Parts: sequence; structure tokens; C-alpha cells
Amino acid sequence: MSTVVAAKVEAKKILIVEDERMLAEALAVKLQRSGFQTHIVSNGAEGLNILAEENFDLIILDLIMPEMDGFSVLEKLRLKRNRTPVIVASNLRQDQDFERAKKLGAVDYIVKSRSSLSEIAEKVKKIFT
Amino acid sequence: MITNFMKSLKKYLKYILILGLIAGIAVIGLVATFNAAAKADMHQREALQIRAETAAKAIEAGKILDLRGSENDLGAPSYEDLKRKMVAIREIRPDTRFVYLMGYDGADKLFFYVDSEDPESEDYSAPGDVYEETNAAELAAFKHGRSFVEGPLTDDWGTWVTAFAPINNADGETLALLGMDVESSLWYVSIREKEVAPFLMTLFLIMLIGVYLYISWRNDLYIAKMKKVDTMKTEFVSLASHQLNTPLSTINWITDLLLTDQDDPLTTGQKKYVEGVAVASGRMVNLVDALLNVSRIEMGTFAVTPVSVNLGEVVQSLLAELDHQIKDKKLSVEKEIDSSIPAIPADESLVRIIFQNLLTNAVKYNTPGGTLAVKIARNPAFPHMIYSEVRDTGLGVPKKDQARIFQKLFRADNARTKIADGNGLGLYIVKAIIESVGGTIWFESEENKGTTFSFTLPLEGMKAREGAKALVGGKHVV
Repeated sequence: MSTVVAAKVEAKKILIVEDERMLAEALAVKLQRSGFQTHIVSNGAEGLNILAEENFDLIILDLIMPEMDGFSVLEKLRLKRNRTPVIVASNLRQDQDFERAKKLGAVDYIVKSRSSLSEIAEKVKKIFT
Repeated sequence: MITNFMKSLKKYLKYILILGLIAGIAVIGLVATFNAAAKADMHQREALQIRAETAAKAIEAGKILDLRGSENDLGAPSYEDLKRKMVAIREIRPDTRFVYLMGYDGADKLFFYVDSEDPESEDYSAPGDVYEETNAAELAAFKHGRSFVEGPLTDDWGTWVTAFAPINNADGETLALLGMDVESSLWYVSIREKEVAPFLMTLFLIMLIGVYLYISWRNDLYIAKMKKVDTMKTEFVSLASHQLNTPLSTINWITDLLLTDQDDPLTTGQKKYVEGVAVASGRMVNLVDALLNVSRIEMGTFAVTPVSVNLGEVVQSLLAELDHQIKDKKLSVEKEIDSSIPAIPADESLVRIIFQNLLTNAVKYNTPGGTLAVKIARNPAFPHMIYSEVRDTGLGVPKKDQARIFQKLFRADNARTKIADGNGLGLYIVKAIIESVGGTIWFESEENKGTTFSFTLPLEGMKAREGAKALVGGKHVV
């Protein structure tokens, strides 16, 4: 008789950096329903603070925010050699925005007004497979 | 640095050229003015000399021989006769102030025989009065029996231009010089008159160019201002669209959550309402995008960034995105994509907007169970183009509405009454994009039978165009 040992999988931790509170919460709820742990901060500076203390498996990052915008966060992460994958979620959608985010190391780019939560959840799952 | 310098040089080149032109005209004008004056002066001198010579011919040499060149001549018939002649010659023209006869004292001075002046006058010269200002030219004229004009010179009586003409005896010896004085200020009046025309002409030309320069400068300022206003508008529209999108995203996501919450599902009635919110919000997102695109099209500021694009692949990916709606309506899809057509340099976003609008319309206005056909091919009628068709078997466009189908915000009556979703901007945007890259679009339609949109795009692709912002549409993934 062999025993099946269920591997206890630790839920992946996702940091949501987004100044629009309701938007961030909707995204967080969706991700929780998909089995992820989430933490919300409302600007880039707060994001960097928490990243200095805690490790996350993924960052979902807005671009236009008070205090510190998303592009600066990407630059700072790079300088600190923090290799946490970042998905940018913004309503900016000029080619130069996509390219800049890509250059700064973002692994994906979500145009918020053009993406459903399910699509985002799918993208997030893909990153961990 | 250098390109900047070249740019500003280019910007000001027109002004530099115009100022150069003005300077050139000013120089030419001044030269022409001086030239006209010099010519007039020369002609006047010639005329004066001829007058003096003519007058000299009227003087009989014998009468001069009668004179002694002293006060004793007063009252002598020859003197009185010559005096009358001097006065008569002076009277011929009003610019002549003095007419006189002068003899030579044998040394270095000329002296007066007779003048045209009344003896009572302050300016009267008595017979024998020495002409103290006698110069070498006058002596030479006397000695060689030559007529000449000199001046303006200043003497006791004023400033004059003077013509001298010799009076010779039968042997050709000079007995006297006839002098004829024209006052310098009078002399120059007629010369100034000759200067007026070229001077005014120059001034007029310079003023004309000046006015052009001014208008051109104002125009440039206006254009610069309008450009600034355009940039501000573009930025405003971009910002407004971004700001509108944020709450719309929140609405979309929250309705999404409500509709997918399995732990706490909505009642059937609630679900219907929330779905209504989701649909309306989705339309709003499309409308915001469309308005943003229309504003960028109308300002002519949208960027075109060509990359290698395979039109067939774009169509495939859009059909995949529309799969859900296609299945809902049970449409059969016919694809005819010529695989020999190469990828062309094109702005992928623009290509997607074109096909997305046409395909979405073909699905939206189709009848359930109908056909959606897409064709990408070569067409001998358009040798340098890629030819494409999007055909549906749906509502069709009523005859009376066909002429207005590409107009902004226009929707055909049957489309408006049967399908609420639609903003009347899609075809306007599609046509503007196709035409801006050198293609054409047209359609054939019959009400209740269907519509075929046909368009061409240049085989050589789209040319890059710098612009403040690109049009938005389609989905982008890093």
C-alpha cells in the first residue's frame, strides 16, 4: 500500500500596487478566489517599502500613481536586483508605454479598461506554471 | 546640436532671405536714386551750357571792343545796349539770377564789363569791378575760348551753378566770357524731382515686402499658436480618456466580481441588471476609445509606426477573439486568405482597428445562422494594392442611407432600431485610417440581404509618420 501524501502547496503571494482602491480590491478578490494571497498598497513608495521587508511571488503594478509612479518602481527594483516578476496594469496604452515597461523588465502588460478579471487571473496563473 | 541649429536656421531662413532682399532693394534703390540725380545734373549742365552759348552768340564782338572796362563805360551806347541784352537774357528763364560779361585783366583776375543787375541793386557790379573769386578754370576757359559749367560754388553773392561761354572776335580770340548764374537751391529743385520716382519706387517695394514680412511673421506666430493649441487639445483628450477609463475599469471589474461570485450568487433578477451595467460599461469603454481616435484623426496628429504585419494573421487573431459572438449567432465563417501575399510594413494597431471594426460589424449586424466571409487577395483591378473584403448576410444598409454610412456619428435607421450597441464612429475611423495610408474603401449593400465592405491597402505598406500619439485599439501584450 502506498500512501498518497498531499503536498502542501503554499499559496503564492501577490502584491498589488494600485492607487484606485476599489479597482485594487476587485482584483484582489478575484485573485483570492483563484487561490492566491494578495496584499494591496496604494503607491510605488509603499510598494518598495513592503518589498524591502517581505518577499512576493508576483507584483501587479499600476503606472500612474501619486508619490511614486510605476516606471520608477520598475527602475528601483532593477537597481535593487529584485527579480520578482512584474505585470504592469495600466490604462496607458501607447506603444512607447508598452516598450518602456518591457525595457524596464515587466513580464506582461495589462490594459485595465480592455481586460476582464478572468483574463488577468489566467495570465497570473500562467506565470506560475 | 547641429540638427537643432539647422532646424532653427531653416525656421528663420525665410526671414533672413526677405531681410536680405530688402537690403538688396535698398542698395539698388539708392544707387538708382543717385544715378537719376547725377543724370539729371548732367543734363541740366548741358542745357545750361547750351543756353549760355546761345546767349553768347547774340552778343556782337564789336560792342565789346567799344568798352573800356571801367566806370567810363556808363552811358555809352554799346554799354547800354549790352546792359539791355543782359537783362533780356536773364528774363528768358526765371531760374537765371545773373547774366554778365567779364573781361580778363591780363594777370590772374576777371573783371566785369556789364551785368544784368539794376545799378540800385546791392548785387550790382559796376564796369571794371574785379571778380575777386576768379579761379583757374575760369581763366583757362577765357584763355582757350571754351565754354563750361561749374559749381555749385559760393561767392559774395551766393551759391551758384554757373555756365560760361566765350565771345570771340573774327580771329577766334576771346574778348569776353558770358556768365549765367543759376541759384544752387533752384538748381537742385529739379534734380530732387528726378530723384523722387526711384526713391518712392524703392520705398514702395520695401514697404510691400515689409508688409509681406509682417503678415508672414504674424501667420507663423498664428500657426505656432495653433500647433500649441492642438498639442494641448491632444494632451487634454488623452488625459480625459485616461481619467474616464479608470472608473470604467473599476465598474467593469466589480460587475465581473458580482457576476462570478459562486459563494454568494446574485438572484436571476439581480444578475440581469448587473449584466446590463457590464454591457453599458463595455460600450462606454469603446466609445471613449473611439472618441479619442476621432479626435486624433481630426487633428491629423496620430502616429503611424510600421512593423512587418501579416494581414491574414491579424484576421485570424481577431476571429479568435470574436469566436464567442460568432458561435452565439451560429454564423458560418468563410475565409479566403491568399497565402502568397507577403507581410507588409504597416502599423499593426491601425490594421487591427480596420479589421476589428469591419469584422465586429459583420458579426453584429448579421442574421443568426448567416455567413461572415473575409477575403484577402490580389485583385488585377488594383495591381499595387492588397485587396480585402468583409462580407455579411445581415441587415444591409438601406439605399437612402448608403451615401452617409461613413459619416461621423451616422447610423442607418435599421441598424439604430435593431441593434442598440454602436456609436456611429467605427466606419468613419476605418475610412480615415485607410485613406490616410493611401488605400480606399467602398461597399455594396442590399437591405436584408447583407453588406460587402471592400478596401485596398498599398502593397508597399504604410509610411512611418511621427505623431504625438497613436490611435488606440486592439489588445497589446508585452
